[in-house]
Amino acid sequence: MAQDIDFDIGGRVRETLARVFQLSAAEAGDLRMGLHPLWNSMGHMQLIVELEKEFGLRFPTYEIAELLSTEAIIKAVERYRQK
Amino acid sequence: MTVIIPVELVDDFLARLHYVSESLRDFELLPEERNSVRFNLLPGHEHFSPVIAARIAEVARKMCETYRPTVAKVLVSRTGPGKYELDPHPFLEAQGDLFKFGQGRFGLGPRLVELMGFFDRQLVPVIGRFSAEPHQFPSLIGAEVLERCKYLRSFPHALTLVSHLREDLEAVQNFARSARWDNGELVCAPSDLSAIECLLSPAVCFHCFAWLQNSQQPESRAFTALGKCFRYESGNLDGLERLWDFTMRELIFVGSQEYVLAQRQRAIDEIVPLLDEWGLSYEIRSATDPFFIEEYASATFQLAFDLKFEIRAVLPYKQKTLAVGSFNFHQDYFGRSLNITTNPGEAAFTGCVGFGLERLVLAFLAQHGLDRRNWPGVVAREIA
Repeated sequence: MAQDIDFDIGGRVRETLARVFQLSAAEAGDLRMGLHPLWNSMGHMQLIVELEKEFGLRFPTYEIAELLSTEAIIKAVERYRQK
Repeated sequence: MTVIIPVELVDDFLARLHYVSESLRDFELLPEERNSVRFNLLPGHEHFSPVIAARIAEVARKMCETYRPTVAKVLVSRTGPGKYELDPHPFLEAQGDLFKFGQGRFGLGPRLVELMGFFDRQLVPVIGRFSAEPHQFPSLIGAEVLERCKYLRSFPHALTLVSHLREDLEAVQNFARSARWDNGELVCAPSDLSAIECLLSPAVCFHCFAWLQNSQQPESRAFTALGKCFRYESGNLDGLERLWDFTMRELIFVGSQEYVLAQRQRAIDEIVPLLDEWGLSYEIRSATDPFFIEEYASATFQLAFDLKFEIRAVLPYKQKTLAVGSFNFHQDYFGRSLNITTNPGEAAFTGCVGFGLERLVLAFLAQHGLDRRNWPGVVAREIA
């Protein structure tokens, strides 16, 4: 069965990060929570809400604590999109 | 409203509606649908109805936006021997052990003072095992500390601001001439009052962190203090359950992440036998702080990162539980906010364990009753 795979998840994640933390997409390429002044507890939840809107998904509470870097977010979104 | 309030959010949602408008007289969430609030306004305030409806809808939307169903983590669950089921408040008032001065303000008589002292005396040796340095802090706290910790933004609804008269003879004379108690408030000219430099402290640990601000703490440290805390909770203030002015024993940790997390877990392990000796029915479970609606997302963050666990004691007369203590991990929030480091460039991690002594007393009496013959031996023996 054919799967609807979004090949630009990485780009959309980086754009969301850039939008939330007021960065360029290039600067959002390899971010980690705590390394940017706006990526604090409130910034993290704002990012989660924006990611959920962008990809039409809902992260469970336990997973929110694991989405701590650009790479981790891309992997998580890919996992959800393939479900 | 455009959202349905999840069952788990109902109490939290209703608690926040007290801050929506001074014109609100009462309100209820329609229990079946949970998407409508029926409210009544004070006479003459009816024209505010559309604005208030919009505000209520905004509170609901913001709370639901970041809410997600979460199974609470229950670390400990105990059922004690207590069989009492009545509300102790009226009996305590009748016996002269409790006196209401005003909303959220109660005086305690000999029996309650004795019980509070007992609980604190039992907690202190346990806290001593953590090599905690004893401290004493003022009830007043500088506004700049709460601003730096973003408390003003996260909990504005709970603040108790402090003022005094301006150092100005005319202002003092004017106040002395004109200030009067009228219709439930002190009427005076705002221009006679000083700017706000201090607030009444909402927690004990802020003082500790303010003391350590701009310092390097290469060695992990623990502190303890008993202090008065002040949180204004509007219509949610309710007897000894929810006081405006209450007493808290805190144990505070400052150091590396590993140290603080290990001490928090150790504190849970060391406190459980004490709670069991007191014969309490309780759970220790994940929890959140009552953030202002604009910062409500922080509550989900707390749950996701296991930042807060509460001791929730059973109140049989309400068939509900009440937080009598909490075990908190702040990550490096206060280290960053107040420039407390462990090594150059590395923010310190902090945590605290807090016990609300009036609530402990209430939970104990609510479960065991006022007759000390029904109290667990360790308590009955100590209280004459």
